[in-house]
Amino acid sequence: MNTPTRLNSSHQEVLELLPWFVNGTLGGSDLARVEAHLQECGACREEEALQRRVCAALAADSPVQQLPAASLNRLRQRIDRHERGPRVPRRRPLAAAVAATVLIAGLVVGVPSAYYWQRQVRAGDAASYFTVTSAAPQHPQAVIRAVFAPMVTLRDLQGLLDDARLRIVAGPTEAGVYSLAMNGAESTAWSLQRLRAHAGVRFAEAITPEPAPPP
Amino acid sequence: MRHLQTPADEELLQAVAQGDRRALDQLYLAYHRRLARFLTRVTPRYESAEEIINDTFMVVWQRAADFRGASRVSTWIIGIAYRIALKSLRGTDGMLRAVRSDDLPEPSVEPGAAAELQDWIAHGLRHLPVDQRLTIQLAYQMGHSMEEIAEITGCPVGTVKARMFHAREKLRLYLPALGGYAGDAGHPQHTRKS
Repeated sequence: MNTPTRLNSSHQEVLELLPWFVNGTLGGSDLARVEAHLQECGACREEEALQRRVCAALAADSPVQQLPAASLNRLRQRIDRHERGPRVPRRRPLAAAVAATVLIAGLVVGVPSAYYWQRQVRAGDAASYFTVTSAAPQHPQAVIRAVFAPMVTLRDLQGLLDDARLRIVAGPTEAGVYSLAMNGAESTAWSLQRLRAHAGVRFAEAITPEPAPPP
Repeated sequence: MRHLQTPADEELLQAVAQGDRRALDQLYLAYHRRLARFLTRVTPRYESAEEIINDTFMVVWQRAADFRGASRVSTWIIGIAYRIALKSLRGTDGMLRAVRSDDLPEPSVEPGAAAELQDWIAHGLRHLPVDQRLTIQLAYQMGHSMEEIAEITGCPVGTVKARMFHAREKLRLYLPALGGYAGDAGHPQHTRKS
């Protein structure tokens, strides 16, 4: 027979295991213990329901998708620059490798984001690697090209895209240009106007010419 | 949500260790989306996520030969990203401040819709210590087990459970309309010795 102390201990252990019961990775005796406890503990069932909502919200896709082509291109160029530098063996002693890792992290995190927005592909690199603009055809749904200010946060970006009823379908290019598609029934001109009203938008233009205003 | 490693991951990493750039490209493209989703929730600027991803794969490129198969390739790569993100976030002002009562939001909106709930959670996450924030994301957003999170973060499983528990308790303060705010008489008493 369970004593109150054992019940409390079991309750606390189950509470701590609930996130992994919710995300489906719990197994073995832990899983059996949680399932048994949930049958007899209403408080833990409430907590399970709450954690399922939090888990679902966190697991939901972000409306902003980062597209990897331009990022991968930057990584390739970075490796090129690194390999053109002083020759170092690929297998380095652990201490040296860790030091290099820390140095790389420190240097790159410190680089202002504006660097990426102002950067142009050098002619030498362009021959070896594709760029988003040169290799990928214009996305068929793209109607607007835009460049956002370097300090625009993810939340700001989501907000201004929602406000202008737009979504990202391609980009950023090396110059930081995103291709945007309509996300609603409004006209391209309407979305363009909304977009241009935001301080976080550096540049926005219609990909297809806008209809000329009536005389 | 849950990623099951295919044999290709290990083969690709072996090729990367031999200096195969195409293999690195494939590995990068296979992991970019998951890492971007993970990082864009914790970094203040979306450019930072890309910087962390590229730092991660720079390390993968340089250290692939050191991978001995003691863990899964996915755990190894996400562990590298975790350590770089941790370092980056700890250097960001305001990321580690403690939750004070005057930080708490007034619940002006009922978080009924999924998008609103996400907003509340995003707001709450910003107030968590970074190790707790990354732990809750590794579990709920990335779908990792306790043991995998312990490997990724380099901590004992007990620490992972403690971080997750405290993260949930602090996040609860930001979800009042879900019935989880502190002091709710109907709410189960959660205590943990830490």
